[in-house]
Amino acid sequence: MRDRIITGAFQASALTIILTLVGILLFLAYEGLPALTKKPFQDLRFAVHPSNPIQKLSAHECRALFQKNLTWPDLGGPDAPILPIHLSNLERYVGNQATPEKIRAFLDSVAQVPGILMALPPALLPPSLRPIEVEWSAWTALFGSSRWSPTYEPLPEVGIWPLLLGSLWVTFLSLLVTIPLGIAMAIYVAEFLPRALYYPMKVLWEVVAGLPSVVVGFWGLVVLVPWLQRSFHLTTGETALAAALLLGWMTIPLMASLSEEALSSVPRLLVEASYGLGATTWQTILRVKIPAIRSSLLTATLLSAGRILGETMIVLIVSGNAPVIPTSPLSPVRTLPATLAAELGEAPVGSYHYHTLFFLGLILFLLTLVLNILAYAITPAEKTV
Amino acid sequence: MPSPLLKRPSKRWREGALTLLVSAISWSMLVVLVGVIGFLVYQGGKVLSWEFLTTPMQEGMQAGGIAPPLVGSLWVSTLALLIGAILGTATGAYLSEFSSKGHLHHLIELLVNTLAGIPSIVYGLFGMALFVVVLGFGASILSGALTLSLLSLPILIRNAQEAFSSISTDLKLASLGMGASPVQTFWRITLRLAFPRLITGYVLAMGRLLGETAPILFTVAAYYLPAYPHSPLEPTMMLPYHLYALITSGTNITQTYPMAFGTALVLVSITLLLTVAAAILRFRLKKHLHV
Repeated sequence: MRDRIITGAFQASALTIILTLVGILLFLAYEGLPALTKKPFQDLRFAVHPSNPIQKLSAHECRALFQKNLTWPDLGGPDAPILPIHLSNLERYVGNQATPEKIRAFLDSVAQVPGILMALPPALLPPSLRPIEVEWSAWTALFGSSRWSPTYEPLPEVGIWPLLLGSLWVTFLSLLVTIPLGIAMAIYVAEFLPRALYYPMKVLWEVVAGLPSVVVGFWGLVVLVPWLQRSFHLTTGETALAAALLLGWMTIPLMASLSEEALSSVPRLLVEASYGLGATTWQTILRVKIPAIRSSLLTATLLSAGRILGETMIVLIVSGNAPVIPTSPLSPVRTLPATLAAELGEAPVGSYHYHTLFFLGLILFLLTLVLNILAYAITPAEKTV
Repeated sequence: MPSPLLKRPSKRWREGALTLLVSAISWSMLVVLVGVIGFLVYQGGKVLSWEFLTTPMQEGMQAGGIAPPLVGSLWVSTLALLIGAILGTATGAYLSEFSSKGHLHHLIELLVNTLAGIPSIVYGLFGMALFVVVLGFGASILSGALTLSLLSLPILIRNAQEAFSSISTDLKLASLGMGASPVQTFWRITLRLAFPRLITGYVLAMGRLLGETAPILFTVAAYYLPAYPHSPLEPTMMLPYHLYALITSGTNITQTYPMAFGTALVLVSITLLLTVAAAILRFRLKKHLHV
């Protein structure tokens, strides 16, 4: 009986693993998917002067009007200068100590202006104005835009491409460091390193992989970033390259230890056959061993890519954090994890911004999940070599 | 046709160059590591003192010590390790000793591998949604410790699994043959013999947990709270986040950077110490424990 309880407890704790993974997926979806259904202006109404013929605006047009990049005549509206009023500029007009009466009087007076465009909660909207509809498509907003300014009032821009491409760009650049250096180290350790130094080398790898990323980021900010700035004559050294060098360096141990394991597992028969044919050490490594462990190297690469993709602090500290689509290794860049780390603390729970960030988290989770599953799906192939 | 005698030296030269190249690359890792740590020791050594470790911050963050984040980090990581070690060791025991190696076993192993690859910031998001918001623990030591314990599970499970399966089958069979039940065998033989290896894994996991920043951003860490926590439901400062705050928010770099160097040195020393300790422990186990 006691034995049953104990084994039951062991089994139950193993089930927490399943619960954790399912829980992560559920919670990210639960908080992230509303980004596809909710509108950022759920509690706002848009309204124009009754003489304004416009009935409907797309989110894009409406935002352009608020930014004064479009004028009313561009859209077939009245020939009058636009006067946009929304919550955050209202405060500028009336001051932050204004009484409700004063706000009401101000709104009633500007409601007379023919070019008025208001985005306010229904309770504040002067009744003389005519409400208009603003179309919001979540898909266009998330995937059809190349700008990320999620707190812009009253219509935020939540295009995820700059962040997604930023993440992929940094990952790609980091892999350029990780793959060759990782494989080189694996070759050295598997083939040339004196036995006595094998264990110290492994410890070295473990230490590098275990360095707190915030410390590495800080070192990068103080040493690497100014150095890059001087050597490339940049206005700022906080670039994708800085992040990639640090991330690539920190991920080498993972790449190297996986490759080293694979190299040491190449069957003796193959190796001896190669030597027997007169091949040199390096010919055997490059022509026999490396081709034999192709699939393991691919697995190692995918796992390294997953690790790099999810790294947060280094990128947050040294990459400049500009949410623009990167064009060169020297452009500042912002990644998915860095965005989450930088913005989630400021997004009110349940707000559109909050849901959008969870949506980003969901994308990041699915990306790394796919990379990992792919990596493990490839692994068994190596055993048939 | 070139004679083999002429070809050989060039080949040998090329091979030597390649060998030299990979060895240079390999040892350059050590050079960079020494560079990073040396720099931190040089810069951080200037502010490091007993007082720096034992007194709270002063004047915002521009002076004083780092005692509150240090204490907070130790609290959260210890609690996380406690939860993670219990769950992780039990799961490892199940996988290695008690499961019937069927579909469930393979599913769990696959999920452990998958969880190991999930970014720590995603754990942070999950911890925030579940522990902070839905369960209502708020930003607190408990929320952070639970989040971090989930993060540490893959390392701890794998370690426990390896530890248990490294114990020789002969001993387990002998125990079973004497009439002990599988659970008795596990309790009296496998667990005791695997204990040193388990401890090694805990030390390693502790080193990793202390350095994690992303998962604690939204679950525990207070930006500035120069007090010591009294209950697990309070928020606390933590070293990695304190370092981040010092780096990014300081308006007065000449004042905050020395503090940041000191904090970074402390953080890196603790994680380095734990990682190396775990490595040495494991090395000695490999050498001396032939059971």
